[in-house]
Amino acid sequence: MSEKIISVIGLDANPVIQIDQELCTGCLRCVAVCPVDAIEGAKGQPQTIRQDLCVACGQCVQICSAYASIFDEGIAPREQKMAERGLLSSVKEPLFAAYNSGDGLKVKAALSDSDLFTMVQCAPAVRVAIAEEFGLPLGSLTPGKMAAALRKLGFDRVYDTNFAADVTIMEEGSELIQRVTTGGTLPMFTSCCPAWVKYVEQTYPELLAHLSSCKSPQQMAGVLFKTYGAQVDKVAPEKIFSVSVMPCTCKKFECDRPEMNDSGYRDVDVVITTRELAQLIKDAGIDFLDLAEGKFDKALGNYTGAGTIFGVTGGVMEAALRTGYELITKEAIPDLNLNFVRGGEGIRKASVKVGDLTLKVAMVSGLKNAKVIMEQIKAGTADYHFVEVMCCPVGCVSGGGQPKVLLPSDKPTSYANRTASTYVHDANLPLRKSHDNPAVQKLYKAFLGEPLGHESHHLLHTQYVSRK
Amino acid sequence: MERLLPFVIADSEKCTGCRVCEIACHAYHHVVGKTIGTVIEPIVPKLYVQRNGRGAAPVQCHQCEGAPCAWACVPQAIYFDRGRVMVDTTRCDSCRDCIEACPFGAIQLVPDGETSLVGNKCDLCLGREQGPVCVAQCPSQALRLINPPKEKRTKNRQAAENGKYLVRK
Amino acid sequence: MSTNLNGFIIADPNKCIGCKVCEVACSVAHVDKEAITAGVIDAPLITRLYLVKTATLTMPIQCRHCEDAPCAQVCPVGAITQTKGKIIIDEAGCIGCKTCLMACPFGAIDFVPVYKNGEVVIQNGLQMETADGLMEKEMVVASKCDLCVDHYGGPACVVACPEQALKMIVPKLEKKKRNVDAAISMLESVKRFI
Repeated sequence: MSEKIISVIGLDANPVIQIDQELCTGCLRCVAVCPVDAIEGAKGQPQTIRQDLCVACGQCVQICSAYASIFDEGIAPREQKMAERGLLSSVKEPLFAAYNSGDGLKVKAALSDSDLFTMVQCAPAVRVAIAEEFGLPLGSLTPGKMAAALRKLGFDRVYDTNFAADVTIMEEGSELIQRVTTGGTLPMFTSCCPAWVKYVEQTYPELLAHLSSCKSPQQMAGVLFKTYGAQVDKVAPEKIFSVSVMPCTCKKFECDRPEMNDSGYRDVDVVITTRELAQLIKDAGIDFLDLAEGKFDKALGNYTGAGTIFGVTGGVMEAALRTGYELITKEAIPDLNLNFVRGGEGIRKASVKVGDLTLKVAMVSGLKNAKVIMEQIKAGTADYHFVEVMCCPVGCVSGGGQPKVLLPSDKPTSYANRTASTYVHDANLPLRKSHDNPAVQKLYKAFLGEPLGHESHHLLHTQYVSRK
Repeated sequence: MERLLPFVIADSEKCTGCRVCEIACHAYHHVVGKTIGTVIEPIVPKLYVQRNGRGAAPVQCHQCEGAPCAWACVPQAIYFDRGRVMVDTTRCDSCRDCIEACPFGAIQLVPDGETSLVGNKCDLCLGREQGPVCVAQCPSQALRLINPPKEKRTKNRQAAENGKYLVRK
Repeated sequence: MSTNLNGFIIADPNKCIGCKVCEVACSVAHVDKEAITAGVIDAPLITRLYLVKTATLTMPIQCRHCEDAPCAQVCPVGAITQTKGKIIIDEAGCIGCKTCLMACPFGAIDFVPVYKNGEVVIQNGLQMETADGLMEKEMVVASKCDLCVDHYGGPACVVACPEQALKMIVPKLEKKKRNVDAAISMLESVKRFI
């Protein structure tokens, strides 16, 4: 395995999450939800973020209620704050003390640059939440309107992260089977959550070998846009501008990781959050509610139910089992709905009979819960083959970049509704197993060869770095 | 109707100054969706979180029995309705005398549409069956809707229970 | 600097029989006319001390005329002050904000309508929405024990109580008395053991 030199670039240079010292009330609600205790300050005083500890998960951004009031005196004008935060000037929503960096302006500029060929991908969690920003009920499922809006914004290709999630299952499922059958490092952890990856790098670098070498779906999509996608669309890769819409703020950090350039260019040029996409849509004067259903471009946008459930805790595991079961036993899994892996915040464990093998799995959501498993590994008591870890409370649908509810009492409802919509979407899709995706099959046949093959290894797998 | 007008008070020991009450107040009184992204006007609450070095608490209308704001209002836009002191914004002429009159600063003048300013004060969420939304949403349960006669009687009872300790033979 | 502490009235729950004569006497002491019989009273009785009845006792509760009166400290219009050793409410200045009611730990302050010549006083500048349309609202002000500051003969409740359960306490004297009682009691016990 060739060693690439990977440079360690942290958040200090380009912080994703910051706290506005003029607005912070020191109420400490963010401190209570920070999974890595990266927020410091006395009660009643403005808080600061330890960027060396921060994993940019954005839960503080979601909970912060210290808004800039028109009655506050002695604070910088709204225009100045909006410029500091990289917000479009048309944004009207209130500003809060804890905020993430804004990249909407870069996307707007790229869309109006006729020299660029813009490709966009949206995470599974975006389509069960974006409509909330337009007044629809919490958790409304609107993939068609989402695709239509992206088309109307002017993206040349409306591709999808869910397609890449299906690819991730092919790679990661194969990797798991390889580790299990050849005595590789177990348990294997999922690596699609960038906050989780940064956490391992800075807290348990000695356990990095446990992480799957697979890139996240976002990064797999990005690198495929500028290689396979360039071929399919007959575009020069240097002209491709790769945009990703995520429920996650840490994905902004992930796309800037120096090693994420296996296409020969920045695999993902810019990440914007669900909220930023809604702001772009409003800025362009598009009436989201009035849009007719749109479609994704098939080559890199066709997806199965297995891909879309990546957005909820237990979803990656369920997708992996639907495919892994068939890869090992050569038979289809009897029931596609693996309710025993689904659930809420915490640690869930299960044993799954796959042919002669009893696969022991765990699903962790809420990064603080991951520490339990890590300590078990160090103590030698961890008895799992495969562990899925998601930093945010119920998975990506509860991510730091998702629409932010106004009332605390609506938060659990937003989680429950977005989760339910994700499974409804999965249940109603014609294809529900990643390996059945014809676009994925074509990708391998025409371009990649085989999972874990030479091309896959070069483009779709990565290495990690110690940040201790 | 209550004998004395109820009102919301804050426990400054519990209040963290987080401003959820202000956001919830605005959300109840304006047409918004469930998320921040649906808020298109500046947040204009009817209670105002104050912070000094030692603690925090929101200030809001005491629903005074002899409401000085109503006395001061020349167009008589402030009156009592269904157990609370209300502002009839159609009669308000933005003269600001109510702001001068209120010793708590509980009444404000806020934008109403593009061109006018009108009186704005706590209305105990008239129309909300479960009562004031600030009380319901406070993450620290620092706010309470109090019924003054009931508060008084509770304290009388407590004082009476302690009464036996005060007398000597 | 004053070395005197404010006097106040306290009831003995062992003697109180819950008859409410104190409440009646208090109300009558504060009306604006001489009243000997009930038939003369033309307005509701408004008392400034409040009989409490629990499962185990009865006793009236009234203002303690606190040295650091929280009611006076929180009144936003300065309507509560100490005068000649008594905490007094200026009814004319009261805006009815109920902050003092919340501040008093004993619940010694209530808010009451005002009657003059048998008629409730209304606030001509204050309208209230009622079933019959807009009407003027009654005046409602803070009210508490004032040690009968304007009543000839001093605290009416103390005099009226048939069981002599109410006593005007002069704190400095009360303390001295207890010091003396304790010393004497100590002397008695020591004597027994010599």
